[in-house]
Parts: sequence; structure tokens; C-alpha cells
Amino acid sequence: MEIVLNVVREKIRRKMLYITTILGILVVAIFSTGTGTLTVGGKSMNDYYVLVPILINVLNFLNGAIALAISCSTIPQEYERRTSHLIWSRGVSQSRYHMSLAAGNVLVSWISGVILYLTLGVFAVVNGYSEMLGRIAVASLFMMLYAACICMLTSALSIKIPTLFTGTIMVIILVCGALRSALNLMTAALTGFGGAVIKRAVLLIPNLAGISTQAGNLVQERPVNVHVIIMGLIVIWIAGLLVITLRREEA
Amino acid sequence: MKKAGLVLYILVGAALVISGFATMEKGLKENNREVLYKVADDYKELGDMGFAGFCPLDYKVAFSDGEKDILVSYNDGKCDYIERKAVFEGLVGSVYQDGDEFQIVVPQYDTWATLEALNDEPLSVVVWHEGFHAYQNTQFNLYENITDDIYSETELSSIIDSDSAAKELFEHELKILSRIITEENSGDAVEIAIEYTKTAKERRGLLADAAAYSEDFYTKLEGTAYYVEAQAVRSEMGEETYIKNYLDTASKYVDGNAKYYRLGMLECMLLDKLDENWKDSYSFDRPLIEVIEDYIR
Repeated sequence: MEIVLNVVREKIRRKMLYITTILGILVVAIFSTGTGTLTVGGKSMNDYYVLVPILINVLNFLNGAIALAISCSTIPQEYERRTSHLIWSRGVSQSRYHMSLAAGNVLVSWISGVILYLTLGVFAVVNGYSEMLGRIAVASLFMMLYAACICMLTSALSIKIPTLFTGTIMVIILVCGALRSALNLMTAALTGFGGAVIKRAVLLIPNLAGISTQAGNLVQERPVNVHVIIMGLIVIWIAGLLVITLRREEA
Repeated sequence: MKKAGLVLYILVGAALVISGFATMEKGLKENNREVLYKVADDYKELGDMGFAGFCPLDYKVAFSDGEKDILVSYNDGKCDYIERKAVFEGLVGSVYQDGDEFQIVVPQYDTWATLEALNDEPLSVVVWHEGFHAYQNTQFNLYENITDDIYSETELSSIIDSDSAAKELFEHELKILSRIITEENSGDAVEIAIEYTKTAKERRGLLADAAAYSEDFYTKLEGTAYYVEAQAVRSEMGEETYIKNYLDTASKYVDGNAKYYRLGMLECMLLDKLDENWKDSYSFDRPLIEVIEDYIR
């Protein structure tokens, strides 16, 4: 637990959460106050019930990017600073140490996401939609799932792969995951053996778009697809297994 | 990590995998089923649109992912389905002939969702469009009329799009016809029909027989289906989307085959103005322009 909290303290010290707060207020304010106009299919999105699911998508993606940035360097930096050696000397196993650092990353990304959702809640109240607060609060659980997927995968990769490559791979996963529906459409036109292979490869990308869609469905009182949530949990579980089993030679 | 912790972790993983399988939608997915319910709701409002005996849900609908089809028979809110190997590869909206039966083939909703969000075109509307082709072929054997004289849509477009004089006249035809949908001219249907047929004949004089014959065929085949599709969009998405996606674009010439869809839809709209019962006696055996001419003789 001490290691987890230490990661949180470290990230606060590095002002990561201030960036999140400012970004969150900017994004939500731009779309909620009439300063900016969000148009979908040529129609202006003024209704908050329509706007909130779109904002949830944007905020989840933004928080996913923050989660990636937070997680990318945590484990490598610990080894660079030789903090790891202090931990080993106290008899903490490498699996537990990596898992604690990954959990720290998840916790920081959740705090960051909660700040983003708080701004969304505040603007919902300001715009007279206070009855949506409860559903926005439940929707934030989906943000936690989204962020945990990114944090755990990034943490797992960062154990073995240099930070730059981890970041690059995870940016690709984040963008492709957020555009899973569009990728489904693009790959649907592919035929033959190559097409079948690419379609299956797309299925391996975490369905981040699906997670955000379920949050939007919840806010709009539409049915939620439990399968998408379970698949998200499986991604976290697999990444967690990698965090537990992967080893750094420096240790 | 201690052994007990690892065992617990593995058990959680096993539980997740089992839950994943248990919640996986097999067969007909709920969002595909909803598409059919939506078509059924539209039908309650729109009926056969004047085309006697037309109902898209009279035909089986195959939701395809390009590898397998879920072939659904809809009957009064009940969906019976079977799974089969996909009859078309890739992203397809079409009709498939299985013996004497014509079936509608559309992409699965999960694949279509992005297009729906971008274009305001629900999958249910594609079912209406393809359902109309199934109707044309079941009731009027339209595909049987396809002979070697009819160019493919791609061949025809490349011929027409490369003739600048004919292209200009085509654009003029669309402009004349689109006056039927602008309020200030909507009362002059006969006048519009006379001017349109005159311009259309002038342009046909520039084309080879095979090209003119092919144009008539596609205008009749696709134009009427586009007309039906537009009415379904109007009912489902409202007047604003209908005007933006169908009426505002109707008079615009585009390379490719979309212009035949637009021309045919406008011809149907002109016929609606000339005689709202024109569909009663129409059996897809002649070009729409000939039907228009009957009303101005």
C-alpha cells in the first residue's frame, strides 16, 4: 500500500493532476457553455442528454491519454533511480512491487478521471440537468474501467520495453481502441484470407469505444451490454497477469 | 506474490472468461433484431407506399459480417433465424436469389453503426431499399430483364461521365425535375413534365441505344428504391434529415451511379404530382419517363 500511495504522491508532486483539471474544465466548458458548437451530421448538439454521451467519449479518451502518460514511465523510472533496490532489500517480491506500481498508476488515473467527471457534473448542474448527476456518477465507473485497461497494459509493457516503444504501442492501442467501431466498418469491406486475419487482429484491440458507448447508454437510459464490460475486465486481468509474471533483469 | 494469491487471481480470471462466454451474443444480436422492429414500426406508418403488396419484411433478411449470415424470417414481432456461410463477401447491401426466393442482405448493425452516426442513414432504411429490390424481383422479375444490352453501372457511368455535352443536359434535367420539390413551382407539374421530357429526349439523342436503354433500366430499378428509401428516412429521421440528405442533393449531378438514383426518385415525385395513383398500374415493365409522357399527351 505504501508503494501505491508513493506513486500517487509522486504524480501529484509532478503536477500531473493540475494538467488534468485544466484540460477537463476546458473541454467541458467549451462544449457546455455555447462558446463552442459541437455538430454531428450537420446538427448542432445543444441537448445535454445528447451531448453528455459524446462528452463521455471525449473525456474517457482524454483520461486514457493521461493514464498512458502517467503509466509509461513509472516502472522504468523506479529502476533508473534504483528505488527498486531499496524495495528488494525489504523482501518485497518483484511481482508485488510491479503490481503495486501499476495499482498506483491506476489510482492516479482514477483521481484524474474523477476530476474530469466532476467538471462534467458541475456543468450539468449549471445547465439545469442536476437529475443527471446520479447517472454521470455511475458512468464514471466506466471511465475507471477504461483508464484501468490503459494503465495496466502500459505498466505491463513498460516492464520489458523501453519507454518510447511502450508509449508508441500504447498510443496505437488507445487510438485504435477508441475507434473500434470505425475499424469494424473499414475491415468489413476486406475479403479473402488477408481480410479474415485483419478482422481477427482488430478483435484483439481492447474495445474502448464500446466501454464509452455503454457509459453513454447508461446516461441515456438505454440497455448496457454487459459483455463489453466483462471483456474490458479480461483485458485488465491479462495485463495484470503480465505485470505479475514479467521480470526486470536489473533486479 | 504468494501461492494462494496467485490461485485466487487465476480463479478470478477463469470466472471472467466463463462470464465472457456466457454473455456473448450468439445468433441474432439484439441490435440487429431492433432494426427489424424499427422497419415494422415504419411499415405501420408508411404501408406499401402505393406499390401494391410491398412490405420489406415479407422477405428474409440476412445480417452479414462477410463470413457468416444470420438469416432472419420476421413474422409479427417474432424472429426465426438460421446461420449460414455468407453469400457475399465484404460490406454488402444487396438482394440474393436463393431458388425462387429473394432475400435481403445487409451488414450487421455493429458494422453499420459508424455510418449511421456519420450519415444519418439508419440500417433499417437499407432494409427498406433492398427490400424494394426483393419486391421488384419477386413480383415483376426485374432482374430477368437484364440482357447483354445493359451495361454494368460502372461501365455506364464511365460512358456518361466522359461526355460533357450529355452531362450538362443531364444536370439540366435534374434541375428541371427538382422544381417539383421547390414550393414556388410545385403547382406546375404538367409544365415541368413537358420541359423535362423534351430535355431528356434531346440528351438521349446524344447517346447510343445501349447507353439510353441502360440508363432507363437503372433509373427504374434504383430510382424507385431510392424513392422508397427517402420516404422511410422521412418517417424515421424527420423532415430535416429528409430534406438535407435527399431533396437538397437531388438536383446535383455526380459522377458514378448515384445520379440515376436521384433522377428516378425525382421522376417518382413528379409522377406523384401528376397522378397520385400512378403506381397502381405500374409494373416495372417500362421506363418511368414513358409513364410521365402518358400524362402529357
